[in-house]
Amino acid sequence: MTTNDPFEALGFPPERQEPRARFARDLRSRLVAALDLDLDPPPAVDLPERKPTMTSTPDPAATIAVPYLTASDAAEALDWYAEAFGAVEEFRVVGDDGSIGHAQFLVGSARFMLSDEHPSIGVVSPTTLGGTGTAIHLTVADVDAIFARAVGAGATSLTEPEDQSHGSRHGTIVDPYGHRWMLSQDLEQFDVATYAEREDVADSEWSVEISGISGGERVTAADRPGTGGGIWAGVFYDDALAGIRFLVDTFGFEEQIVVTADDDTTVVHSQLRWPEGGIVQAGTHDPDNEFTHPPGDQSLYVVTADPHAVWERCRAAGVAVVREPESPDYDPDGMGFAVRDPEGNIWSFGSYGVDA
Amino acid sequence: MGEPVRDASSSESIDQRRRLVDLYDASMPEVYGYLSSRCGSATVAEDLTSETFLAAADAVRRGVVPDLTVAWLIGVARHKLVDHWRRRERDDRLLTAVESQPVPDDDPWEVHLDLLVAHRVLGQLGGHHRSALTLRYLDELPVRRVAECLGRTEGATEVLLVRARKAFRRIYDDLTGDPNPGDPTGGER
Repeated sequence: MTTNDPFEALGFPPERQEPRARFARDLRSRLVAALDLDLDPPPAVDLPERKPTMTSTPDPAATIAVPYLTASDAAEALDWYAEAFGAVEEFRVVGDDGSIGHAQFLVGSARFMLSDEHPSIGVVSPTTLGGTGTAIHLTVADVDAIFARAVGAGATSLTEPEDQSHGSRHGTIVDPYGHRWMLSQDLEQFDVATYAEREDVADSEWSVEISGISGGERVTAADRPGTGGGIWAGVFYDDALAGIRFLVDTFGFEEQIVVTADDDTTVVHSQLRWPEGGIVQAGTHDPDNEFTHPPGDQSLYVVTADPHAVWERCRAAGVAVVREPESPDYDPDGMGFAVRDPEGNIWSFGSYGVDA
Repeated sequence: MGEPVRDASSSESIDQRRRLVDLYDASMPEVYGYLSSRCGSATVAEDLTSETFLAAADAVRRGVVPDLTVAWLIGVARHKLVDHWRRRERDDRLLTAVESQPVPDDDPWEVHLDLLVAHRVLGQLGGHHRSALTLRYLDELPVRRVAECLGRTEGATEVLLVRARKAFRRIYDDLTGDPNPGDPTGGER
């Protein structure tokens, strides 16, 4: 060895270096498995890749359609919407060149998104297009005040605020960035039948055509009660109203909605909710309707944590028994039984191994 | 849980196994950093880090860990690194040729190593030379410990180090454009 060994300059004590978080996590799992240990996962806060936790609470403003506006100068437009509509900015994403790639703001509870133009990906503003094909209908508390504020801030008035036969007062403007806004204030609850009968509507060159199912009651999707999704079973009766009464009174279904035709006896739609989950649509059997089956053809299974309670109600009602209560091999603590409803459809109730 | 066939299921062993996981949580970046700075590849460093900890787990289960510390883990990592280079050099036919040549003189070399260049040179060396120089100079191990790691005698390790320094110097001079590679007096003239 020479006394002045140039290689000594290479000395390099071990230094900490953070590996990829994913690698660290995977290897830890392998290590824990190799050691036959049953350990909690590592504290997640140590992981450098971890992103801030976003809330899992549903945001109502995000579940409806959100207008995404493009402006020739997005930063200026954000100021303008704040001034004219009292918009509250949520955040903006600014590029190195100062352009706005994305921004969000709220007007009341309505959310809007906004960006500068990015023609290379087809994002252009009404200014560039020379017009817009879309208007934004915005419900406000005081249309006259907002309208005056917007026009004062530089918007162009298309129609001054005026009471409309559909029950609102509204006016239309075009903002400095070319977006058309229908500012609207509710004066009364809108009802399409009332609207159609109003003189100025009935006598105009326009006629109102009301969509909806036949029969007395007109139901829109929004009128239907929430059901929580899932698979809905159909079950059919010659006397569907009696069938529904039986399902509710004896089995314990909850009536959500029953829609009858003009004869008041033909059930065209119903939703009966099982309290522990699931929907059946009980309806009138119609030989000409391929969606319905002859009564007695159907076999349905209902999961319940308390089949005994249902059994007691069936016994009290003298229901025809197909299979007496028994505990299946796979679920010795559970119980199940089967009965026929008044028109012969088979209903099996059981815990089916599901924990209470 | 089955019958305790070995002391792996004793409470002492469970303590040891838990301690290895704790050690992993606290010191894995140190082991990874050691490997990464020497092998120069994140992918290889990840592989070797995995091998190191899984070998450590095996040793813990067999109850053959003298001292469950970071230093011990670095020692395991060092062996994995040497094994890695050894695997790579198996294909290197030059090795036998080099090994059969006479031992060159270990000329004194007056140079101030440029560390960036030096690490590039290490990466170009055969695995045996790279191992020897890394253990001796980066890890600053005495020749006796280098010999242990490489499974050689001290004498053979000394010879290997002479050859490794020679090979290193040849490439280093090439890269830095020394006009007289191999000249004992180097740039001192």
